[in-house]
Amino acid sequence: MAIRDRVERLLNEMPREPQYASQGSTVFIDLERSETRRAYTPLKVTRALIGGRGANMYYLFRLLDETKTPLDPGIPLIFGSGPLTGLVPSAARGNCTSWSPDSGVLMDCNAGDYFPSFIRMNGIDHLVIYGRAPAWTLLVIHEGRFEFRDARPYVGLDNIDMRLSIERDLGGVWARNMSMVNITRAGENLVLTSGIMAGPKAIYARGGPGAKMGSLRLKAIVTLSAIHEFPTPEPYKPYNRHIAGKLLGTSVVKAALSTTGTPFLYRPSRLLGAMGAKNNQETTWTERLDASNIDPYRPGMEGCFRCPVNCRPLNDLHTLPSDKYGRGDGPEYVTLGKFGPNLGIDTVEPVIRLNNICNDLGFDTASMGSSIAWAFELFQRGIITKAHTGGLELQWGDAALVEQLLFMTATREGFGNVLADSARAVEKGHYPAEALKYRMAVKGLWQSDPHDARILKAFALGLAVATRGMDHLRNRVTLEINAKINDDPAFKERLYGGPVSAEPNGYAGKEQAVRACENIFAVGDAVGMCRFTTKLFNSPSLPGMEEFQKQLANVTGLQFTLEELDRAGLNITGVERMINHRLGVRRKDDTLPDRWFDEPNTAGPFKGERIDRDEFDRMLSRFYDISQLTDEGVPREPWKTELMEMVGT
Amino acid sequence: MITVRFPAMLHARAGQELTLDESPSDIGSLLDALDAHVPGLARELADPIYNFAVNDEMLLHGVRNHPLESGDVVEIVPTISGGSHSFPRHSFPALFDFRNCRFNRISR
Repeated sequence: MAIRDRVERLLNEMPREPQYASQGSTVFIDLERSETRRAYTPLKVTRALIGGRGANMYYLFRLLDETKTPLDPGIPLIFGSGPLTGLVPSAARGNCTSWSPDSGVLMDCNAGDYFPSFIRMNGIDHLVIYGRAPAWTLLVIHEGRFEFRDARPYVGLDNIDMRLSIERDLGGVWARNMSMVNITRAGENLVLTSGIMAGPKAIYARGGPGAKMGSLRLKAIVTLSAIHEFPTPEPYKPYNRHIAGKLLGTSVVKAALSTTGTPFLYRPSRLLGAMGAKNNQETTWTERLDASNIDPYRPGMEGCFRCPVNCRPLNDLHTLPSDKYGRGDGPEYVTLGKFGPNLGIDTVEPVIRLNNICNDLGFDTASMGSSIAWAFELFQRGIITKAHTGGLELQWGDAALVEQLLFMTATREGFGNVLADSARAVEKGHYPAEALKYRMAVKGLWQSDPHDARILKAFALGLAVATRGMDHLRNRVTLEINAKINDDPAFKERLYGGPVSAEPNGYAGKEQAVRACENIFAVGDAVGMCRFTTKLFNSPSLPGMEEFQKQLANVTGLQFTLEELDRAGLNITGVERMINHRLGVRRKDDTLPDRWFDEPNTAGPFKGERIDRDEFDRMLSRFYDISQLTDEGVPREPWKTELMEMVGT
Repeated sequence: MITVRFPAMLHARAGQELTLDESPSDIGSLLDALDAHVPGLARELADPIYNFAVNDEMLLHGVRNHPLESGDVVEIVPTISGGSHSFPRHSFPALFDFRNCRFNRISR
């Protein structure tokens, strides 16, 4: 069935009026025909999956045609914001969903800044985009009205110049009345490590969304609208003050996120001996990359719409103003790790510069850094040679070479074409099959963060079972790295709803912790809350289900019990697993790179640690059991039937 | 002798580094000793944001009873995991009476 027929059938089932106060519409956008149609997410879907990431799964499940390929224009690209997005402090997030051209499984990524909130200011909760535009297109949403503009003048522009050009041409003001998502040359060239930029640094990053948007010939979506208040059944601002107080009163926010940002994590990771270095051949790295060394280059912090935390560090390398990459946003811990130790770079200045280049070129720094590190190790081992690299000598720590490779990748020039095919380089015939042994990816997606998880078994299980591939932001039990929580078993049991081993490298009960995190993080994404400020990710005391419950009632009028919210988290990952199953994912794919089973950790108090295959397999079985999954990792009956009926199939 | 290194966020209260002439036997004793020198510091360090590393190796559990030896360097390492006014304080109660420690402040 063609995509238009699928959309038509779906539209016939969808209400034409809002189902609750403050609900925005879902707009179906046919780029080939320059047409839009509107409807609203059905209430039964909202009750089961809430919105944002959750409702995105409903749309993808219904519109996915797995007989096609991810870059086919009949595969939709879906943006979604949550019911709390733009209304609640630190709820500035939205998700972007499709079939990943990079991993080949579910693509679902999350970003903040202003776009997710500003589409809601235009009365929209979801955008479902399909069809290939006849020519490069700029989609402008102005107070809820859609305009398809010729984007050819913008083709070839990367993020910095694109933002300058749009601001000049459309007359809006960033962060006041205008926001944008856009691709760069990398997206235009279908580079699989390319993301969709949502701000100077904010990016829908994982799984190649830039390539997907480029395949539709959609250069950018710009929103223009005034910021306004939403009609809600109950006042929500008084409770917002409680949430803001909770955010700002938490020491992890006060002492770390608001002052330094995520690079803080580098030092504890390397002292633990859990910092992936040189494509995870080593597990610690130099103190020269500790966050304190970035202090001289950090002029301030920035934040997303209505977020009081301001966790995004700015940078200034104090170079001449003409140096395009002498200042910018970031780096985050992920970029610091992926472009520092992972590439053998041992000073902060080149890492900051490479970060700024990635922000301009629109790269997912996790995937881009991993793709380069993989190539470096293959070169080190002689699996690839100068014959593969076009004469380039791939050497750890060569920052100038990395910079060159970034620009080559954006345009698919020379060896850049190989790096642009990301984790698929073997499948595309660039590398021999032996290379897969050193590919630090799960379900075809590179590991998102630089933390080597041979020690922390809850981290490891989370990376194995995450529905979008090897990614910590779906379920990471970050509090496993916290000694005081590990040493308080009663508190730890209350946090995760069951006993969890105090030993970070133990296997017992870790499935319980991952399950609890999957649920609350999925609900956080569904309502629009930032992961950094969601309970269990960075702190046990940040806003969680209770706060979501209260504000959902105030903003939508819908009453959810805490059990229903927890169930919604399970439902969301359940539908994601059903999507992945249609794409061929099975139990064997919920695993980890061979290196973590076969090679010992090289440094720190857990030197020699690795993942035991049998213990891991038993932990995975326990995870399936408490997650109501079959032995192949899909929802069991009768839950499966409930989910199928809910999504309308 | 035990050397204690503090993160930047504690420099104003505790300085960058302290050298303790006499050696507490474990981290729990060390905390009490620190509190004697900087009143209220043990309570502050009870916040879960603070982890401990001994000789450049992070401790992830069994912290209070982790043995110390003369010459050890203990570092207070803040992590982005944990921390709140509402977290139960009982996980780091003062257990040891360690009144005879002397500190040499190296820098503040």
